[in-house]
Amino acid sequence: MDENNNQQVNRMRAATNSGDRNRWRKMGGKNRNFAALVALLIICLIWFITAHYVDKPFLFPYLEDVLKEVGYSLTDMYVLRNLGITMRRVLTGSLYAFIIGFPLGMIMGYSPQILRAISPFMNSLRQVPIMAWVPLAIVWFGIGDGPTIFLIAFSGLFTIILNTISGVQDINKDFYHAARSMGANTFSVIKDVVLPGSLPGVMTGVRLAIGLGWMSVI
Amino acid sequence: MVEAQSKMLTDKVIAYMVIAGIIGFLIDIVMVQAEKILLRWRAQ
Repeated sequence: MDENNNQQVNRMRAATNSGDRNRWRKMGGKNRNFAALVALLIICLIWFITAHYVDKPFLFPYLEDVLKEVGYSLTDMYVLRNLGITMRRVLTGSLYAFIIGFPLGMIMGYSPQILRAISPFMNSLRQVPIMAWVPLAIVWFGIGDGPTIFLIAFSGLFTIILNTISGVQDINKDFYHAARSMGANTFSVIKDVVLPGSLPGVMTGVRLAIGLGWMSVI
Repeated sequence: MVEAQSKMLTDKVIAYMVIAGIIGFLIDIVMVQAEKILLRWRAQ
């Protein structure tokens, strides 16, 4: 009996210690990504050593020079103002891509007939290099923000369409059956099943579109 | 950036690349947080 009690106490003590170690690892219950920080420090160390070993700042700039330039640029109002203008263009272009791409993606994902009708044109158009649109964009929208916003919207549009289609098609058919069996009409199915169900795909598309827009404008 | 590219100031070019990468990373973090809020109902 005493032996059993001791064993039980030892098991409880081990479980408590294990819990303490887990909490220490998670730093009070929240996950901290120390691995990324350690990886960054290692990359910086390799860069520092290699740049000084190569000793040709034109070919391989020193880490300290680059960090100095980063610090100077982040405190320079001219750079910050231009970054703000760029961010405005990216968000505007992504908004236009979402306004056009989201309804089109929803319709194409929901209706196989419309998907079959529009897919060939969409798949052809998205293979055209973005730089081929630059002269047309300048002719249509003039010099200024117009061509930039058009190119950003164009680069994000097909990403949003494809991910929205995927989001709609990934909805489990049981949800449709359940909604219909409870008397839902088409509008209710779209409002209560399709829209929330496709949201993961839509969010992925928007996230990728904003990233693509930022890359293309920089 | 364009000026640094034309004058071949490689340290400035890399500095602007680092800034662009940092801003892109921050944009991604904002989108992930928005995704967590809008998709709270989804089972993890």
